[in-house]
Amino acid sequence: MIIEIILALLLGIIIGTITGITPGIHINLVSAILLGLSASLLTFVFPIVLVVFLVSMAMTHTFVDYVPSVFLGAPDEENFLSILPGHEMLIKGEAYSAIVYTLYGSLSGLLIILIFSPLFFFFLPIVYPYAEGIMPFILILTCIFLISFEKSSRLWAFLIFIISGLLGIATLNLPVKEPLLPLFTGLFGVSSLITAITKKQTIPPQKIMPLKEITLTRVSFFKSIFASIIASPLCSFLPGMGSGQAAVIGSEVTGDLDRKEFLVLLGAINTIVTGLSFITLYTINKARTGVAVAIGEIIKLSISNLVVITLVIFASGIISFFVTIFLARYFSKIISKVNYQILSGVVLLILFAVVFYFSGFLGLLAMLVSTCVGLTCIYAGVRRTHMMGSLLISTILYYLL
Amino acid sequence: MKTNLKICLALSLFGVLLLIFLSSHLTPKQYLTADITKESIGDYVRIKGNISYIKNIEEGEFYILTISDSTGEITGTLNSKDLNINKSQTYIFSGKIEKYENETQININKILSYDN
Repeated sequence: MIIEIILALLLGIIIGTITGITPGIHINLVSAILLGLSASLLTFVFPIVLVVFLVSMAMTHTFVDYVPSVFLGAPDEENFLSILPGHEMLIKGEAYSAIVYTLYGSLSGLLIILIFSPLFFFFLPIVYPYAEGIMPFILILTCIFLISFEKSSRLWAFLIFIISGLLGIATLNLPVKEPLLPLFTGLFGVSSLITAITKKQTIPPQKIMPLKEITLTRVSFFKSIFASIIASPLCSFLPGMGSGQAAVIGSEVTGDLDRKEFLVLLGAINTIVTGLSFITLYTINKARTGVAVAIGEIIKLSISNLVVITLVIFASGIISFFVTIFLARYFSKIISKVNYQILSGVVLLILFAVVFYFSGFLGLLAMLVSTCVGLTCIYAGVRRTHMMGSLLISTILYYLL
Repeated sequence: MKTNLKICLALSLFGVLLLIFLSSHLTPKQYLTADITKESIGDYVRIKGNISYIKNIEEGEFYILTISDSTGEITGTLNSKDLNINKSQTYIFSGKIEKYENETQININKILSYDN
């Protein structure tokens, strides 16, 4: 059994690395596919072995997926904000440092999971029933905050939020498989790649500095970590709330964060949200991530399962840190030697193929419309978090109607 | 930049309206309950059948029902605050096939009465 668990852990790291490095593939999609296969898989492995594989894969994915996000401008819905500071650093030849900052955040996230798990464990079941009753109002208030935090144009922010909301309602009601795939691929991935291609971006040689030289001041580090502690619980118990919005709220609450601080914050939030989603599943029986949904279907979580999951989170997180460092070094060496437009074009074709394979022609149509909304947001110069109205408005209506 | 913004905004509005139209007019493929297998998970389907069992949970907002047709039956789930259905009537149920506790079930999003 222990050997099986270790093998599942290592296999999860390998598959999580592949899914993380592949542009446009979100961990929820992989979890949904595995859930479909789980009935056959469970005939020859114990449920806990499959759970270890899923947790290890999800944690690795949250570490590795900053690599395509920063180097290719092809993020998924959880790390799309990293494209802005990350891409700015790529253009300055500092992509490697950008990824290392997100990794510092992710590693700190592992410690925060350890510290906050007991608090979540005891307080969430007490707080959640009260919060659930006023959930739509909390979500509406959060949306108002997010729009009012916009520094460029609140009118455009509101418009993008509403258009994205209508797009989300329409797409989620289309008879297509995996409707979130075309929705988010278009909003955040394809629109970024088209912008990169049309701007004829050239990438300078990247600096690979030793880790000890990629530093933050103590104040900056604790500011980012404090923001992640405030923001992460929002994602963990508010449905429809992504880590991007949580990062904006955390950033606003603690005062404006610079690029490095923001990357640390994002890395920490993504890791904490994935880690705490298993506690949320156990304590209030709500799955806030795709992998938690899959685990909830495979096994009824017990305390001993949670202990195993926590150990797997740590082991896979630490190994993924080194895997991501290796990948970031490799990409840093080759990125300035390849034609960035051709590379972006190839990634674009991969995204089209993935969406067509999973969601068909209707999915492609939804992706094209989502791309137009994504481009409108980029040209209007407002934060891309407003496009998360695509999920938030549907969620609010679900509670209200 | 402003021209690009206007073009993208116009395409977005047109596209969103088109998707809203399609989402309310496109109907999924009709299935018999016997044709629904584990491979159907994630598919949107229509099933013509009768309700052989219904139970409401969470103060009437969540329903679990059994849909029967000539080939078998399938469990359905439905969120509704105002459900008015008759066991002797035939209905068309539209929704997504999902997996719950190793069984396939339909998460119903639309019920239409079937006349003839």
